[in-house]
Formats: sequence, structure tokens, C-alpha cells
Amino acid sequence: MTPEAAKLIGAGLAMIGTLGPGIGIGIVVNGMLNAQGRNPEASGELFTNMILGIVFAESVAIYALVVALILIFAV
Amino acid sequence: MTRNRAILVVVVVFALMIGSAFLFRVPLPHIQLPAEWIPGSPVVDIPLIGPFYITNTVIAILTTDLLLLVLAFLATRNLSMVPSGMQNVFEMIIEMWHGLSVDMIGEERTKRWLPLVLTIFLLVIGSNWAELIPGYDTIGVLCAEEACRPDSEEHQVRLGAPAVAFAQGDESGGDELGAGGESSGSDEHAAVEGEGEGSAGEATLFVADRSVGPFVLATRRAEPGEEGYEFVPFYRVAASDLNFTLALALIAFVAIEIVGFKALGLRYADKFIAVSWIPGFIRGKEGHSRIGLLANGLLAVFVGILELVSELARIISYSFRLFGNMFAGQILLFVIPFLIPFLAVVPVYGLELFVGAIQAFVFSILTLAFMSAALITHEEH
Repeated sequence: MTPEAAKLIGAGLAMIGTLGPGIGIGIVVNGMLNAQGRNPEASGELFTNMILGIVFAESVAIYALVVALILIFAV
Repeated sequence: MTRNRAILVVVVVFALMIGSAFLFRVPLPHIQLPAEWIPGSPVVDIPLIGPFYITNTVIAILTTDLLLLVLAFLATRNLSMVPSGMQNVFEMIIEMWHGLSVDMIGEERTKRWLPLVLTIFLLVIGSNWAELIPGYDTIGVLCAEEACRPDSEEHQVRLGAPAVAFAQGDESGGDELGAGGESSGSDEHAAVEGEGEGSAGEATLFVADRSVGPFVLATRRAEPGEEGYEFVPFYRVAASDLNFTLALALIAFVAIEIVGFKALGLRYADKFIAVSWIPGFIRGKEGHSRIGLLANGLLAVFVGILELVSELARIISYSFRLFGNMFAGQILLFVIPFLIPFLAVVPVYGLELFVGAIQAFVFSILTLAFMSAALITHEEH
């Protein structure tokens, strides 16, 4: 296996790390929609907090993405 | 009748999309992590820090600054009680952020810190949306200077692509494979050559396809063996340069620490290096055993270390979140026209518009959220 191939496979494997954040974001949005259904007046604040929750989950996915990008374009 | 026409339009559009993939080939640009040095611009050697040189992301951010200044001037030129036009837009943004900020860090601190948060927001959203202006990443020069020659030493420093890779690739194209296969004894040698051959950091060379005088209108990738040049665009989205996002993250981080220290004084430092339990432990407390106090104290120390690590990890997550999102978006904008040149990029533009705004919003709202978290001591939560 050439180093090039190993790098590409590594980048692909790194993106498996986005599985967890995907599930996490789903759970966050689920919770927000439930809360919104019960208390529609609080939508504005809920939305801000949902974005915050999504961002924290997403940042893990971004780490995986950055590792993949570095493997492809920088190493 | 209208339904038939709609079907016809859809069919024609699809035919154009598929046809364009064969007729108007868009070359895939060279993608690299570090920002490109603008050929011919001065390089200043700063002692201890290293060379400072003007990259296309620097130009992009300065242009964004200028654009924001012009917009701010237009918004404040003739202020009126009943806002209209640009003033209206800015007032809407400021009102929204003022409301969020008062909720999170209080009226008093909002006066002091909202300008910083809003500056970050406007700068990031401005530079992210600037990416969508036609000409970003596409208008540039074919650089024939010494520093742009892939085998020069300067090249490695300024353009990021490894110089070694090219020197080897040029010398021995066919030789290399044989050498790698045969000589299993010289492992080191083979490894170095393999790296050179397959490195993705390798520069992609372009040649002018159509040109009018000194102006190049279109480029294509150089054929193997043909003399090509490095293509350096004048503009590249600022957030795809880690220097920019790291600088913003450090500014936000320092602001958050200042807010914490101002609100809590030394108790803020106690959050991270827990010592405040020691006097209580030495004197002893009514109704608490010494062992219990010690256990609580050691727990506080451990929690403090965790808190310190997560505080410092914020800088990394801040900078990589913005960088990762914008760099990935940039690559998406490169790849889609390469696959389907006609119309397919429009939804991606919509997506990037959304992502750019969300990332700017998130960067600023996180600054506010961390500020409000810095106001609380351990005892309170």
C-alpha cells in the first residue's frame, strides 16, 4: 500500500467520528421540538439554546473533519 | 399546457447540466491548507516570530474591513428617528444582539462588551459571505517568479507545498517506481521517495488557455511534461486560514478571562487552581470531619484541573470550528462546478450563505455564553 492510499483511507476512517455528533444533534433537536410543542411562547430562547447545543456536538464532528482535511491536504 | 412547459424547462436544464460537464470543463483548482503568498509582495523578517508576508487571506480580510467601514458610514450618514435603508438593517442587528447580551451578561457588562461581540459577528459574517462574490478563488496570477517554482526553497515556506516532493518527481519519473519495488533494503530511501511521489501537498500547475494581452481569461491544468505555473488567487475566504480564526479565538478568550476576573476577582482563579478550601481544612469546621473536608478539597482541585483544560480547549474548538466549516465550504464550492459546471452550484451557494451566517452567530453567541459562565463561582452552581 502506498503512503498516498494509506492517507486517503485514514481520512475516510477519520470521518467515522462524525457518526456520534450526528446522533447527538438529532437528540438536541428532538428535545427542542418537544419543548416547543409544550411551550410555544419560549421558542426564541429555545432556539438560541438549541443552536448552542448543536454547536457543541458539531465541534466534535469538525475535529474529525479537520483531521481528515489535514491528512488529505497537509501531510 | 403550463405543465408541459415546466417539464420542457426541467428537461432542458438537465440536458444543459449534463452537456456542460463535457463541453465546458472547469479545472479543479489546487487545494492547500496554508494561504498562498501573493507573488511580488514584500516579505518582512520579524525576529523571533519569523517571516511576515502578505497572503491572499490578508487581502481578503482587509477588503472586508473596508466594506464594513463603508457600510457603517452609509448607515450613520444621516441618522433619523425613523430609520430607513442601511440604518434600519444595522439597528435590527444591534437590537437583536443587545437583547441576547442583556439576557446573558446583564445590562452593565453589555455596555462594555457588546461592541467586541458585534465586531466579531460583523467581521466573521462579512468575510464568510465575501466568499460567495464571483472572483474569489478564481481571479489571480500565474506566478512565474523564483519563489513560485516548486523546486525552490522559498516555495516551501511561502506556498506550503513541499519542495522535496517536486525535486524528486521531476528528476526520476519512471525510475522511482522501480527503485521503490526492488530495494527493500533501503527502506528509508523508499519511504522518502514514496512520500514525494504521493504527496497531496504537491502543487498543481496551470497554463494559460485563453488570454488577451497580459490578461489570462481561462486556465487549464498543465499536461505532464509541459511547463506550467503556480496559480495564486488574489482573494481567498479569510476563515480558511487558521491564523485568522486562531487570532479571533485568542481575542475572545482573553475577553472572557477579563470578564471573569473583573466579576469575581481572585475567586475566579480559585475556579482553576483550588486553594480556598485549605484555611477551612486547617481550622476545622463545625459538624465536618477533617477527612470529609480533605476529600472535598481534593475534589475541588481535581475539578479545577478539568475546568482549566476545558477552558484552554475552547481556543482550539473556537478556531477549528470556524476554520473547518469555511474550509470545507470552500472545497465544496470548488468541487461542484468541477463535476457539473452549469447551475448545480446554486444550492451550494444557498447552503454556504446559511453556514456563513450560522458560524458568525455561533462564534459571537459562544463568546457571550462563556462570559456568562465565567460570572458564576463553584459555590453558586
